[in-house]
Amino acid sequence: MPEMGRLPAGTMGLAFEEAIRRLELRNRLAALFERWGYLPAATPIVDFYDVYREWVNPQHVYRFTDREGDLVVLRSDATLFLARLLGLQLSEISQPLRLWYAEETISHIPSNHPVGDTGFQAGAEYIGLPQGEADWEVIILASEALECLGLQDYRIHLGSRALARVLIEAEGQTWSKDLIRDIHRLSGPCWENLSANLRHQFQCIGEPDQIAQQLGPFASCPEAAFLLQSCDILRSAGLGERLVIDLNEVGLLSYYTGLVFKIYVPGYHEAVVSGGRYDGLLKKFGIEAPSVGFSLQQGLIEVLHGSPEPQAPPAAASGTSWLERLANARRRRAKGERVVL
Amino acid sequence: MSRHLTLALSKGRLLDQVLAYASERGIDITFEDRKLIAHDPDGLLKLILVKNADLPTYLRYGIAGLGICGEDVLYEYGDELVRLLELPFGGTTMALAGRSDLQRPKWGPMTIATKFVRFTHDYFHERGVPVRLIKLDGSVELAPVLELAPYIVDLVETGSTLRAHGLRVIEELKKIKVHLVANRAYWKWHYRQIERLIVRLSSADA
Repeated sequence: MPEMGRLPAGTMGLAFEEAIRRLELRNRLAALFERWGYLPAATPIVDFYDVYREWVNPQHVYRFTDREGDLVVLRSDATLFLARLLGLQLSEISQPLRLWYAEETISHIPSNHPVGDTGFQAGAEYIGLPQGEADWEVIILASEALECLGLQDYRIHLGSRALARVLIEAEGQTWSKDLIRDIHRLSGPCWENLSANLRHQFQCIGEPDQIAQQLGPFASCPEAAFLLQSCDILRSAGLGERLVIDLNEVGLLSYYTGLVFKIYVPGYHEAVVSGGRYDGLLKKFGIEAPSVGFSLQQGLIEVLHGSPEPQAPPAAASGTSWLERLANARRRRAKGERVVL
Repeated sequence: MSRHLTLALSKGRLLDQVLAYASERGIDITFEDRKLIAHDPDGLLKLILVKNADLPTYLRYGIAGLGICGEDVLYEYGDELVRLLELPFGGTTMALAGRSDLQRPKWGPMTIATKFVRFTHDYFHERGVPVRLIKLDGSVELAPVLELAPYIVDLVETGSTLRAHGLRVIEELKKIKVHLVANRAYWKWHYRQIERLIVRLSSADA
Protein backbone atom coordinates (compact mmCIF):
# COMPACT_ATOMS: atom_id res chain seq x y z
CA MET A 1 0.00 0.00 0.00
CA PRO A 2 1.56 3.35 -1.07
CA GLU A 3 0.81 5.14 2.25
CA MET A 4 3.34 2.90 4.04
CA GLY A 5 6.23 4.33 2.03
CA ARG A 6 5.56 8.04 2.36
CA LEU A 7 4.48 10.84 4.68
CA PRO A 8 1.86 13.52 4.00
CA ALA A 9 3.34 16.47 2.08
CA GLY A 10 5.28 18.88 4.27
CA THR A 11 5.68 16.62 7.29
CA MET A 12 8.82 14.96 8.55
CA GLY A 13 10.11 13.26 11.63
CA LEU A 14 13.48 13.20 13.33
CA ALA A 15 15.44 10.17 14.39
CA PHE A 16 18.80 9.35 15.95
CA GLU A 17 21.30 12.23 15.93
CA GLU A 18 18.76 14.82 14.72
CA ALA A 19 16.37 13.94 17.52
CA ILE A 20 19.22 14.05 20.05
CA ARG A 21 20.24 17.47 18.79
CA ARG A 22 16.69 18.84 18.99
CA LEU A 23 16.43 17.63 22.57
CA GLU A 24 19.85 19.01 23.45
CA LEU A 25 19.13 22.46 21.99
CA ARG A 26 15.73 22.50 23.67
CA ASN A 27 17.36 21.64 27.00
CA ARG A 28 19.85 24.48 26.60
CA LEU A 29 16.99 26.90 25.97
CA ALA A 30 14.99 25.51 28.89
CA ALA A 31 17.94 26.02 31.22
CA LEU A 32 18.43 29.60 29.99
CA PHE A 33 14.75 30.52 30.31
CA GLU A 34 14.56 29.05 33.77
CA ARG A 35 17.67 30.95 34.89
CA TRP A 36 15.84 34.11 33.83
CA GLY A 37 12.85 33.10 35.99
CA TYR A 38 10.51 32.01 33.18
CA LEU A 39 8.05 29.18 33.81
CA PRO A 40 7.30 26.51 31.21
CA ALA A 41 3.97 26.34 29.40
CA ALA A 42 2.51 23.76 27.03
CA THR A 43 -0.39 24.61 24.73
CA PRO A 44 -2.92 22.26 23.09
CA ILE A 45 -2.10 21.19 19.56
CA VAL A 46 -5.70 21.49 18.38
CA ASP A 47 -8.23 24.22 19.13
CA PHE A 48 -11.40 25.75 17.69
CA TYR A 49 -10.69 27.62 14.48
CA ASP A 50 -13.17 30.43 15.18
CA VAL A 51 -11.14 31.50 18.23
CA TYR A 52 -8.19 32.38 15.96
CA ARG A 53 -10.02 33.41 12.79
CA GLU A 54 -9.07 37.08 13.22
CA TRP A 55 -5.33 36.42 13.24
CA VAL A 56 -4.55 33.43 11.06
CA ASN A 57 -4.44 33.19 7.29
CA PRO A 58 -6.87 30.38 6.37
CA GLN A 59 -4.58 29.38 3.51
CA HIS A 60 -1.69 28.79 5.90
CA VAL A 61 -3.34 26.62 8.56
CA TYR A 62 -4.63 23.08 8.70
CA ARG A 63 -8.34 22.93 9.58
CA PHE A 64 -10.72 20.02 9.88
CA THR A 65 -13.92 19.06 11.69
CA ASP A 66 -13.76 17.14 14.95
CA ARG A 67 -16.14 14.37 16.12
CA GLU A 68 -18.71 16.95 17.26
CA GLY A 69 -18.62 18.67 13.88
CA ASP A 70 -16.71 21.73 15.12
CA LEU A 71 -14.10 23.28 12.85
CA VAL A 72 -10.72 22.95 14.57
CA VAL A 73 -7.23 24.16 13.67
CA LEU A 74 -3.76 22.73 14.33
CA ARG A 75 -1.38 24.93 16.32
CA SER A 76 0.33 27.24 13.81
CA ASP A 77 1.49 30.04 16.12
CA ALA A 78 2.58 29.27 19.67
CA THR A 79 1.95 32.84 20.94
CA LEU A 80 -1.70 32.75 19.88
CA PHE A 81 -2.31 29.37 21.48
CA LEU A 82 -0.57 30.50 24.65
CA ALA A 83 -2.72 33.65 24.87
CA ARG A 84 -5.81 31.49 24.55
CA LEU A 85 -4.53 29.10 27.23
CA LEU A 86 -3.96 31.97 29.64
CA GLY A 87 -7.44 33.28 28.95
CA LEU A 88 -8.90 29.89 29.89
CA GLN A 89 -6.84 29.40 33.03
CA LEU A 90 -6.53 32.88 34.53
CA SER A 91 -9.14 35.50 35.28
CA GLU A 92 -6.62 38.27 35.91
CA ILE A 93 -2.87 38.86 36.08
CA SER A 94 -2.02 40.17 39.55
CA GLN A 95 1.71 40.35 38.91
CA PRO A 96 3.95 40.02 35.88
CA LEU A 97 4.13 36.53 34.48
CA ARG A 98 7.08 35.13 32.56
CA LEU A 99 6.50 32.01 30.46
CA TRP A 100 8.48 29.98 27.96
CA TYR A 101 7.56 27.17 25.58
CA ALA A 102 9.16 24.89 23.01
CA GLU A 103 6.60 23.26 20.73
CA GLU A 104 5.91 21.98 17.27
CA THR A 105 3.82 24.17 15.01
CA ILE A 106 2.12 23.09 11.83
CA SER A 107 1.21 25.47 9.05
CA HIS A 108 0.95 25.13 5.32
CA ILE A 109 4.01 26.33 3.44
CA PRO A 110 4.04 26.18 -0.39
CA SER A 111 5.88 23.13 -1.67
CA ASN A 112 8.62 25.16 -3.38
CA HIS A 113 9.53 26.88 -0.13
CA PRO A 114 12.64 25.73 1.77
CA VAL A 115 10.83 25.32 5.09
CA GLY A 116 8.52 22.34 5.54
CA ASP A 117 5.08 22.53 7.14
CA THR A 118 6.29 21.25 10.50
CA GLY A 119 8.16 23.84 12.52
CA PHE A 120 9.63 23.78 16.00
CA GLN A 121 9.22 27.08 17.82
CA ALA A 122 10.67 28.01 21.17
CA GLY A 123 9.98 31.33 22.77
CA ALA A 124 9.25 33.43 25.79
CA GLU A 125 6.45 35.80 26.76
CA TYR A 126 6.51 38.51 29.43
CA ILE A 127 2.94 39.29 30.45
CA GLY A 128 1.66 42.11 32.62
CA LEU A 129 4.02 45.06 32.11
CA PRO A 130 3.53 47.98 29.71
CA GLN A 131 6.21 48.98 27.19
CA GLY A 132 9.63 49.62 28.65
CA GLU A 133 11.76 47.25 30.66
CA ALA A 134 9.76 44.17 29.66
CA ASP A 135 10.47 44.84 25.96
CA TRP A 136 14.19 45.29 26.64
CA GLU A 137 14.32 42.14 28.77
CA VAL A 138 12.69 40.06 26.05
CA ILE A 139 15.07 41.34 23.35
CA ILE A 140 18.16 40.64 25.47
CA LEU A 141 16.75 37.21 26.33
CA ALA A 142 16.24 36.48 22.62
CA SER A 143 19.86 37.40 21.91
CA GLU A 144 21.09 35.18 24.75
CA ALA A 145 18.89 32.37 23.46
CA LEU A 146 20.64 32.56 20.09
CA GLU A 147 24.05 32.62 21.73
CA CYS A 148 23.25 29.60 23.88
CA LEU A 149 22.37 27.76 20.66
CA GLY A 150 25.82 28.58 19.30
CA LEU A 151 24.96 31.54 17.06
CA GLN A 152 27.23 34.46 17.86
CA ASP A 153 26.96 36.26 14.53
CA TYR A 154 23.51 37.83 14.30
CA ARG A 155 21.85 41.21 13.92
CA ILE A 156 18.68 42.47 15.57
CA HIS A 157 16.46 44.71 13.46
CA LEU A 158 14.28 46.82 15.72
CA GLY A 159 11.14 48.53 14.44
CA SER A 160 7.86 49.81 15.78
CA ARG A 161 4.32 48.95 14.77
CA ALA A 162 3.11 51.94 16.79
CA LEU A 163 5.38 54.36 14.92
CA ALA A 164 4.42 52.85 11.57
CA ARG A 165 0.75 53.50 12.38
CA VAL A 166 1.49 57.10 13.32
CA LEU A 167 3.28 57.67 10.01
CA ILE A 168 0.51 56.02 8.00
CA GLU A 169 -2.35 57.79 9.74
CA ALA A 170 -0.59 61.17 9.51
CA GLU A 171 -0.81 60.74 5.75
CA GLY A 172 -4.54 60.08 5.96
CA GLN A 173 -4.14 56.42 5.05
CA THR A 174 -5.93 53.55 6.78
CA TRP A 175 -3.96 50.92 8.68
CA SER A 176 -4.86 47.40 7.45
CA LYS A 177 -3.56 43.86 7.17
CA ASP A 178 -3.04 44.40 3.43
CA LEU A 179 -0.91 47.45 4.15
CA ILE A 180 1.27 45.47 6.59
CA ARG A 181 1.82 42.84 3.88
CA ASP A 182 2.67 45.49 1.31
CA ILE A 183 5.16 47.28 3.59
CA HIS A 184 6.75 43.90 4.24
CA ARG A 185 7.45 43.29 0.55
CA LEU A 186 7.70 46.94 -0.61
CA SER A 187 5.05 46.48 -3.26
CA GLY A 188 1.35 46.05 -3.84
CA PRO A 189 -1.70 48.29 -4.16
CA CYS A 190 -1.51 49.77 -0.63
CA TRP A 191 2.22 50.45 -1.07
CA GLU A 192 1.57 52.29 -4.34
CA ASN A 193 -0.88 54.59 -2.51
CA LEU A 194 1.77 55.83 -0.08
CA SER A 195 3.72 59.00 -0.77
CA ALA A 196 7.27 58.65 -2.09
CA ASN A 197 8.56 60.05 1.20
CA LEU A 198 6.74 57.47 3.28
CA ARG A 199 7.82 54.64 0.97
CA HIS A 200 11.38 55.81 1.45
CA GLN A 201 10.97 55.91 5.25
CA PHE A 202 9.70 52.33 5.29
CA GLN A 203 12.94 51.22 3.63
CA CYS A 204 15.22 52.96 6.13
CA ILE A 205 17.60 50.79 8.14
CA GLY A 206 20.45 52.25 10.14
CA GLU A 207 21.82 54.16 13.08
CA PRO A 208 19.54 56.09 15.46
CA ASP A 209 20.75 59.49 14.27
CA GLN A 210 20.19 58.56 10.61
CA ILE A 211 16.70 57.29 11.40
CA ALA A 212 15.86 60.41 13.42
CA GLN A 213 16.92 62.51 10.46
CA GLN A 214 14.76 60.45 8.09
CA LEU A 215 11.76 60.80 10.38
CA GLY A 216 11.97 64.59 10.38
CA PRO A 217 9.28 66.12 12.63
CA PHE A 218 8.06 62.64 13.64
CA ALA A 219 11.35 61.92 15.40
CA SER A 220 10.03 63.58 18.54
CA CYS A 221 6.67 61.79 18.68
CA PRO A 222 6.40 59.41 21.68
CA GLU A 223 6.47 56.29 19.50
CA ALA A 224 9.70 57.33 17.75
CA ALA A 225 11.23 58.57 20.99
CA PHE A 226 10.64 55.16 22.60
CA LEU A 227 12.13 53.36 19.60
CA LEU A 228 15.27 55.52 19.70
CA GLN A 229 15.55 55.24 23.49
CA SER A 230 15.19 51.45 23.26
CA CYS A 231 18.00 51.29 20.72
CA ASP A 232 20.29 53.30 23.03
CA ILE A 233 19.50 51.18 26.07
CA LEU A 234 19.82 47.85 24.30
CA ARG A 235 23.12 48.85 22.73
CA SER A 236 24.38 49.86 26.17
CA ALA A 237 23.13 46.52 27.52
CA GLY A 238 25.68 44.71 25.37
CA LEU A 239 24.12 44.44 21.92
CA GLY A 240 26.22 47.29 20.53
CA GLU A 241 26.08 47.53 16.76
CA ARG A 242 24.43 44.15 16.50
CA LEU A 243 21.20 46.12 16.87
CA VAL A 244 19.99 48.53 14.19
CA ILE A 245 16.76 50.44 13.75
CA ASP A 246 14.72 49.22 10.83
CA LEU A 247 11.55 51.11 9.90
CA ASN A 248 10.61 48.28 7.55
CA GLU A 249 10.05 45.98 10.52
CA VAL A 250 6.40 46.62 11.35
CA GLY A 251 5.49 43.09 12.48
CA LEU A 252 3.79 40.83 9.95
CA LEU A 253 1.26 39.37 12.40
CA SER A 254 -1.74 41.58 12.94
CA TYR A 255 -1.71 41.41 16.77
CA TYR A 256 1.49 43.44 17.27
CA THR A 257 1.07 46.91 18.78
CA GLY A 258 4.45 48.36 19.83
CA LEU A 259 8.14 47.54 19.42
CA VAL A 260 8.77 44.67 17.00
CA PHE A 261 12.01 42.95 16.11
CA LYS A 262 13.54 40.27 13.93
CA ILE A 263 16.92 38.64 14.19
CA TYR A 264 18.89 37.71 11.09
CA VAL A 265 21.98 35.57 10.72
CA PRO A 266 24.36 35.46 7.73
CA GLY A 267 23.76 32.85 5.08
CA TYR A 268 20.19 32.09 6.03
CA HIS A 269 17.22 33.15 3.99
CA GLU A 270 14.77 33.95 6.78
CA ALA A 271 14.73 35.64 10.15
CA VAL A 272 15.43 33.10 12.89
CA VAL A 273 13.69 35.08 15.63
CA SER A 274 10.68 37.38 15.51
CA GLY A 275 8.90 39.10 18.32
CA GLY A 276 7.30 42.20 19.68
CA ARG A 277 4.67 43.79 21.88
CA TYR A 278 1.05 42.69 21.56
CA ASP A 279 -0.96 44.63 24.13
CA GLY A 280 -4.47 43.92 22.84
CA LEU A 281 -4.25 40.19 22.24
CA LEU A 282 -4.85 38.80 25.72
CA LYS A 283 -7.88 41.05 26.18
CA LYS A 284 -9.51 39.20 23.28
CA PHE A 285 -9.14 36.03 25.35
CA GLY A 286 -10.53 37.57 28.52
CA ILE A 287 -7.51 38.99 30.38
CA GLU A 288 -6.51 42.62 30.41
CA ALA A 289 -2.71 42.41 30.34
CA PRO A 290 -0.07 44.04 28.16
CA SER A 291 2.46 41.54 26.79
CA VAL A 292 5.64 41.16 24.83
CA GLY A 293 7.43 38.07 23.58
CA PHE A 294 9.41 36.36 20.87
CA SER A 295 9.52 33.08 19.07
CA LEU A 296 12.67 31.44 17.84
CA GLN A 297 12.59 29.06 14.90
CA GLN A 298 14.56 26.23 16.44
CA GLY A 299 13.93 24.10 13.36
CA LEU A 300 15.72 26.69 11.21
CA ILE A 301 18.62 26.91 13.63
CA GLU A 302 19.02 23.13 13.46
CA VAL A 303 19.37 23.49 9.68
CA LEU A 304 22.05 26.16 10.21
CA HIS A 305 24.05 23.76 12.33
CA GLY A 306 24.25 21.33 9.38
CA SER A 307 24.16 17.55 9.75
CA PRO A 308 24.80 16.45 13.34
CA GLU A 309 27.92 14.43 14.12
CA PRO A 310 27.23 10.69 14.31
CA GLN A 311 27.04 9.49 17.91
CA ALA A 312 29.65 6.98 19.11
CA PRO A 313 27.93 3.69 19.92
CA PRO A 314 27.41 2.98 23.65
CA ALA A 315 29.86 0.62 25.36
CA ALA A 316 28.90 -2.99 26.01
CA ALA A 317 28.56 -4.20 29.63
CA SER A 318 30.94 -6.96 30.69
CA GLY A 319 30.08 -10.14 32.58
CA THR A 320 29.36 -13.76 31.93
CA SER A 321 25.66 -13.69 32.81
CA TRP A 322 22.86 -11.20 32.21
CA LEU A 323 22.76 -10.32 35.92
CA GLU A 324 26.52 -9.67 35.97
CA ARG A 325 26.24 -7.47 32.88
CA LEU A 326 23.36 -5.56 34.49
CA ALA A 327 25.40 -4.95 37.64
CA ASN A 328 28.40 -3.86 35.59
CA ALA A 329 26.26 -1.53 33.49
CA ARG A 330 24.67 0.03 36.59
CA ARG A 331 28.10 0.80 38.08
CA ARG A 332 29.36 2.39 34.87
CA ARG A 333 26.13 4.34 34.18
CA ALA A 334 26.38 5.80 37.69
CA LYS A 335 29.70 7.28 36.55
CA GLY A 336 28.02 8.80 33.47
CA GLU A 337 28.94 6.18 30.84
CA ARG A 338 26.49 5.09 28.14
CA VAL A 339 26.28 1.30 28.43
CA VAL A 340 24.07 -1.33 26.80
CA LEU A 341 23.51 -4.78 28.20
CA MET B 1 30.82 38.80 5.56
CA SER B 2 31.19 38.11 1.84
CA ARG B 3 32.63 41.03 -0.08
CA HIS B 4 30.39 40.75 -3.12
CA LEU B 5 26.63 40.65 -3.54
CA THR B 6 25.11 37.76 -5.45
CA LEU B 7 22.75 38.78 -8.24
CA ALA B 8 20.69 36.37 -10.36
CA LEU B 9 19.84 37.37 -13.91
CA SER B 10 17.46 35.56 -16.21
CA LYS B 11 18.54 34.25 -19.57
CA GLY B 12 15.51 35.61 -21.36
CA ARG B 13 14.55 38.84 -23.05
CA LEU B 14 15.97 41.07 -20.31
CA LEU B 15 19.59 39.96 -20.22
CA ASP B 16 21.05 42.24 -22.89
CA GLN B 17 19.16 45.23 -21.50
CA VAL B 18 20.39 44.55 -17.94
CA LEU B 19 24.01 44.21 -19.08
CA ALA B 20 23.82 47.41 -21.15
CA TYR B 21 22.16 49.34 -18.31
CA ALA B 22 24.76 48.16 -15.80
CA SER B 23 27.61 48.95 -18.18
CA GLU B 24 26.33 52.53 -18.59
CA ARG B 25 26.72 52.83 -14.81
CA GLY B 26 30.25 51.51 -14.76
CA ILE B 27 29.41 47.90 -13.90
CA ASP B 28 30.85 45.78 -16.68
CA ILE B 29 29.67 42.20 -16.75
CA THR B 30 30.73 39.61 -19.28
CA PHE B 31 29.58 36.01 -19.25
CA GLU B 32 32.20 33.89 -20.94
CA ASP B 33 30.90 31.48 -23.56
CA ARG B 34 28.52 28.91 -22.01
CA LYS B 35 29.42 29.96 -18.47
CA LEU B 36 26.56 30.74 -16.14
CA ILE B 37 28.55 32.48 -13.39
CA ALA B 38 30.50 35.73 -13.74
CA HIS B 39 32.03 38.47 -11.59
CA ASP B 40 32.23 42.16 -12.32
CA PRO B 41 35.85 43.41 -12.46
CA ASP B 42 35.41 45.58 -9.33
CA GLY B 43 34.38 42.58 -7.23
CA LEU B 44 31.05 44.20 -6.35
CA LEU B 45 28.86 41.47 -7.79
CA LYS B 46 28.81 37.76 -8.40
CA LEU B 47 26.32 37.06 -11.16
CA ILE B 48 24.38 33.88 -11.80
CA LEU B 49 22.51 33.23 -15.01
CA VAL B 50 19.32 31.22 -14.45
CA LYS B 51 16.09 30.35 -16.19
CA ASN B 52 13.51 33.11 -15.81
CA ALA B 53 10.99 31.06 -13.85
CA ASP B 54 13.70 29.64 -11.57
CA LEU B 55 15.03 33.03 -10.47
CA PRO B 56 12.70 33.39 -7.44
CA THR B 57 13.61 29.88 -6.30
CA TYR B 58 17.33 30.73 -6.24
CA LEU B 59 16.50 33.79 -4.17
CA ARG B 60 14.13 31.95 -1.85
CA TYR B 61 16.82 29.41 -0.99
CA GLY B 62 19.43 32.14 -0.57
CA ILE B 63 21.68 30.90 -3.40
CA ALA B 64 21.40 34.39 -4.84
CA GLY B 65 20.39 37.29 -2.63
CA LEU B 66 19.34 39.69 -5.38
CA GLY B 67 17.71 39.31 -8.77
CA ILE B 68 16.42 41.33 -11.68
CA CYS B 69 13.16 40.19 -13.20
CA GLY B 70 9.74 41.28 -14.39
CA GLU B 71 6.53 41.46 -12.40
CA ASP B 72 5.21 38.57 -14.48
CA VAL B 73 7.79 36.24 -12.91
CA LEU B 74 7.26 37.71 -9.44
CA TYR B 75 3.51 37.23 -9.63
CA GLU B 76 3.77 33.61 -10.72
CA TYR B 77 6.65 32.44 -8.54
CA GLY B 78 8.05 35.06 -6.20
CA ASP B 79 5.39 37.13 -4.52
CA GLU B 80 7.25 37.20 -1.19
CA LEU B 81 10.42 38.79 -2.58
CA VAL B 82 11.15 42.40 -1.66
CA ARG B 83 11.07 44.87 -4.56
CA LEU B 84 13.91 47.29 -3.97
CA LEU B 85 14.05 49.30 -7.17
CA GLU B 86 11.95 49.68 -10.30
CA LEU B 87 14.24 49.73 -13.33
CA PRO B 88 13.54 51.96 -16.32
CA PHE B 89 13.79 49.32 -19.03
CA GLY B 90 12.26 46.05 -20.14
CA GLY B 91 8.67 47.11 -19.51
CA THR B 92 6.04 45.16 -21.38
CA THR B 93 2.32 44.41 -21.27
CA MET B 94 0.39 41.37 -20.16
CA ALA B 95 -2.40 41.07 -22.67
CA LEU B 96 -5.38 38.95 -23.67
CA ALA B 97 -5.02 38.09 -27.35
CA GLY B 98 -6.84 36.01 -29.93
CA ARG B 99 -7.55 35.66 -33.63
CA SER B 100 -7.99 38.99 -35.37
CA ASP B 101 -11.69 38.37 -36.05
CA LEU B 102 -12.46 37.37 -32.44
CA GLN B 103 -14.11 39.54 -29.77
CA ARG B 104 -14.15 38.89 -26.06
CA PRO B 105 -17.40 36.96 -25.33
CA LYS B 106 -20.15 38.85 -23.47
CA TRP B 107 -20.96 35.83 -21.31
CA GLY B 108 -19.84 32.25 -20.80
CA PRO B 109 -16.37 31.03 -19.93
CA MET B 110 -13.33 31.83 -22.04
CA THR B 111 -10.76 29.14 -22.73
CA ILE B 112 -7.31 30.67 -22.41
CA ALA B 113 -3.89 29.15 -23.02
CA THR B 114 -1.08 30.77 -21.05
CA LYS B 115 2.21 30.40 -19.23
CA PHE B 116 0.90 32.77 -16.58
CA VAL B 117 -1.73 30.60 -14.94
CA ARG B 118 -1.76 32.29 -11.54
CA PHE B 119 -1.98 35.79 -12.95
CA THR B 120 -4.68 34.85 -15.45
CA HIS B 121 -6.74 32.97 -12.88
CA ASP B 122 -6.58 35.82 -10.36
CA TYR B 123 -7.18 38.57 -12.92
CA PHE B 124 -10.39 37.10 -14.30
CA HIS B 125 -11.58 35.58 -11.01
CA GLU B 126 -11.37 39.00 -9.29
CA ARG B 127 -13.54 40.42 -12.08
CA GLY B 128 -16.08 37.60 -11.92
CA VAL B 129 -15.22 36.28 -15.39
CA PRO B 130 -15.24 32.48 -15.65
CA VAL B 131 -12.21 31.07 -17.47
CA ARG B 132 -10.85 27.67 -18.39
CA LEU B 133 -7.07 27.67 -18.32
CA ILE B 134 -4.66 25.56 -20.34
CA LYS B 135 -1.05 25.70 -19.13
CA LEU B 136 1.63 25.98 -21.79
CA ASP B 137 5.34 26.56 -21.29
CA GLY B 138 6.20 28.27 -24.56
CA SER B 139 5.06 29.33 -28.06
CA VAL B 140 1.68 30.26 -26.62
CA GLU B 141 0.63 31.98 -29.86
CA LEU B 142 0.33 28.55 -31.46
CA ALA B 143 -2.68 27.72 -29.26
CA PRO B 144 -5.26 29.76 -31.26
CA VAL B 145 -3.61 28.85 -34.58
CA LEU B 146 -3.89 25.13 -33.83
CA GLU B 147 -7.30 25.61 -32.11
CA LEU B 148 -6.15 24.43 -28.70
CA ALA B 149 -7.71 27.58 -27.21
CA PRO B 150 -9.25 30.65 -28.86
CA TYR B 151 -7.57 33.06 -26.42
CA ILE B 152 -4.12 33.45 -24.96
CA VAL B 153 -2.69 35.60 -22.16
CA ASP B 154 0.93 36.49 -22.81
CA LEU B 155 3.52 39.26 -22.67
CA VAL B 156 3.32 41.57 -25.66
CA GLU B 157 6.06 44.04 -26.58
CA THR B 158 5.64 45.14 -30.21
CA GLY B 159 2.83 42.75 -31.21
CA SER B 160 4.77 41.54 -34.25
CA THR B 161 4.73 37.88 -33.14
CA LEU B 162 0.97 38.08 -32.69
CA ARG B 163 0.45 39.65 -36.11
CA ALA B 164 2.67 37.04 -37.75
CA HIS B 165 0.21 34.40 -36.49
CA GLY B 166 -2.93 36.32 -37.42
CA LEU B 167 -3.61 37.35 -33.80
CA ARG B 168 -4.22 40.71 -32.11
CA VAL B 169 -4.39 42.17 -28.62
CA ILE B 170 -8.00 42.09 -27.44
CA GLU B 171 -7.35 43.71 -24.06
CA GLU B 172 -4.30 45.00 -22.19
CA LEU B 173 -4.47 43.50 -18.70
CA LYS B 174 -1.44 44.91 -16.86
CA LYS B 175 1.70 46.91 -17.51
CA ILE B 176 4.67 44.80 -16.46
CA LYS B 177 7.71 46.52 -14.99
CA VAL B 178 11.18 45.23 -14.17
CA HIS B 179 12.54 45.31 -10.62
CA LEU B 180 15.66 44.71 -8.61
CA VAL B 181 14.35 42.22 -6.03
CA ALA B 182 15.83 40.63 -2.94
CA ASN B 183 15.47 37.82 -0.52
CA ARG B 184 14.22 39.69 2.54
CA ALA B 185 16.78 38.32 4.99
CA TYR B 186 19.61 38.91 2.50
CA TRP B 187 18.51 42.52 2.10
CA LYS B 188 18.48 42.97 5.89
CA TRP B 189 21.91 41.42 6.38
CA HIS B 190 23.60 43.27 3.48
CA TYR B 191 21.60 46.48 3.63
CA ARG B 192 24.60 48.82 3.51
CA GLN B 193 26.12 47.19 0.41
CA ILE B 194 22.71 46.94 -1.24
CA GLU B 195 21.99 50.60 -0.55
CA ARG B 196 25.20 51.51 -2.38
CA LEU B 197 24.23 49.29 -5.33
CA ILE B 198 20.78 50.90 -5.48
CA VAL B 199 22.34 54.37 -5.54
CA ARG B 200 24.59 53.28 -8.38
CA LEU B 201 21.78 51.66 -10.38
CA SER B 202 19.53 54.67 -9.82
CA SER B 203 22.12 57.10 -11.10
CA ALA B 204 22.24 58.65 -14.54
CA ASP B 205 24.83 57.20 -16.94
CA ALA B 206 28.37 57.07 -15.58
